[in-house]
Amino acid sequence: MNVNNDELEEFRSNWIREVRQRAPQSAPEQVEETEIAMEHFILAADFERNGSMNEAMKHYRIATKLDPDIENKHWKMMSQKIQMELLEPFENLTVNEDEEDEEEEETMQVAVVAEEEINEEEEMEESIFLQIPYEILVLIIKRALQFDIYNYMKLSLTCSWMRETLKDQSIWRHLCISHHFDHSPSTLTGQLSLYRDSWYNMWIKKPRVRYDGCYISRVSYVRRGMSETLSLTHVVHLVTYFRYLRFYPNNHFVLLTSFSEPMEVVQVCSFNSRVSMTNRK
Amino acid sequence: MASVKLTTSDDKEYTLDRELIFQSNLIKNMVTDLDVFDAPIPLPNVTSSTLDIVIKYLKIHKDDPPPPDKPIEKAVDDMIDEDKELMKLEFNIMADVILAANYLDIPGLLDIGCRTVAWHIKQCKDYHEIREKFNIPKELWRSEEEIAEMKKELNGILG
Repeated sequence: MNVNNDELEEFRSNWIREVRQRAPQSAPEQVEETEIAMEHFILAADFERNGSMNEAMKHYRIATKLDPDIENKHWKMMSQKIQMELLEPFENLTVNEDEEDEEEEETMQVAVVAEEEINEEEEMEESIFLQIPYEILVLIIKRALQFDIYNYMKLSLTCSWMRETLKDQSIWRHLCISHHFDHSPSTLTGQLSLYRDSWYNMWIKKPRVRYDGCYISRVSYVRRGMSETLSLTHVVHLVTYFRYLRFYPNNHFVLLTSFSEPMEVVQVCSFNSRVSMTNRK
Repeated sequence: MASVKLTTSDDKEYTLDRELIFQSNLIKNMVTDLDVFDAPIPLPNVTSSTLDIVIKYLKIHKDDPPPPDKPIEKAVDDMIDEDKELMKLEFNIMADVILAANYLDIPGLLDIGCRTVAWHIKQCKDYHEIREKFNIPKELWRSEEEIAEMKKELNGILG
C-alpha cells in the first residue's frame, strides 16, 4: 500500500469544502459517507494503477455501495486539482484581465520599465546565440535535442526568435535520421511524402522507440482453480504479471518478466544492474 | 616538416607544422591547391587569443585516426577529458572559438564547441535559466499577452 496519507487528507479537506459550498442542505451523514467512499475510491485507483486488481475491485465495490455517484465526483475533483497544478507556474506571470483600467496602468508600467532596461542593456554582453551565424546555431540545437528531446520545451519558451529557429527542417531531419538508425537516410527521405513532406511531422507521427524509460506490459488473466470440496463455490484465480523492457541507443535492450510491482523493479531494471532477481516471486 | 605561417587579425604571426595545421581543411586546401606556403596566410576573423586555443586543440588531436562512420555517442558531452578542460571558457570566448573553427573548417573543434553549448543548455532546468545564462535580450521574450493567451487556452482545455 503506497497511498500517500497527506494527499488523502488534502483530497478529503478539498472535497468537504466543495460539498459544503454546493449543497449546504445535505445531511451530515451523506457527507460522511461520500467522504469515506472517496477515500476507498482513491485507494482503489492506486491499487489498479499498480496492478493489484483484487484489492482494487474490493475497494471500488465498497465505494460504489456507499455512494453510487462517486465516480463522477472523483473525476470532477481530479480535474479541478489538475487545473490548479497547471496554472501554478503562470501565477507569477499574470496579466490582470479583470479590470480595464488596471490593464492600462500595467501596460504603461511595462513600457516605462522596458525603456529603462533597454538603456541598461547597452552595457550587457551580447548573447552567444546572436553572435554566431544561423547554421552554427542549428548545429548546436541539433546536438541539444539529440540527447534530450525535453530541451525543445525549454528552448522554445525562451524567446520567440528561438521558437522560429526551432522550426528549421534540418534539425528534425537530423533527429529522425539519428533516431531511426535502422533505416538509411535515403529510405527515410523516401517516406517523407507520408508525413506531408515535413521532418517535424515525421518525428512526431512515426512510431519510435524511446530510450528514456522502461516499457511495462501488464498481463492479467483469469483461470479456474480447483475447489477443495465439491461445493457450489468455484475457485477463480486472477493472475497478474509484468514484462519490463528497457531499450538503449547502442542496440541493446533488457527484458524482465516478473510478478514484482513496477515501483520496485523499474529502478533496478537496467543494463548495468547486478541485482539478482531470482529470490523474488 | 615544412611549416605554414598564419597572421591573425591583430597582426601576430604564427608558424606551425604542416601536419598540425592540416587538420584545418581550409588551410590544407589553400596550401595544397595554391602552392604558396612562403607568404603568411592572413586570418582576418581570428584573434591571437582565439588562435591559441585552436592550436591547443590541434596539438591534443594531431595523432587522431579518422572518426568511425557511425559513432555511438552516449551523452551530449561524450568528449575526451582534455577537450572538456579546453572548453571551460566564458561564452564570449567560446563563441569566438566556434566562429574560428567554422572559418578554418576544423570539424572536430566545431563539434565539441557545439556539444559544450548544448550541454550548458541541458544543465538549465527551465527557460528562465536559459534566458539568464545566455543573456537573451528582453525584446525577444514571449510577451505577457502571449502568456495570458496560453493561460486562457489551458482554461478552455480543462473546461
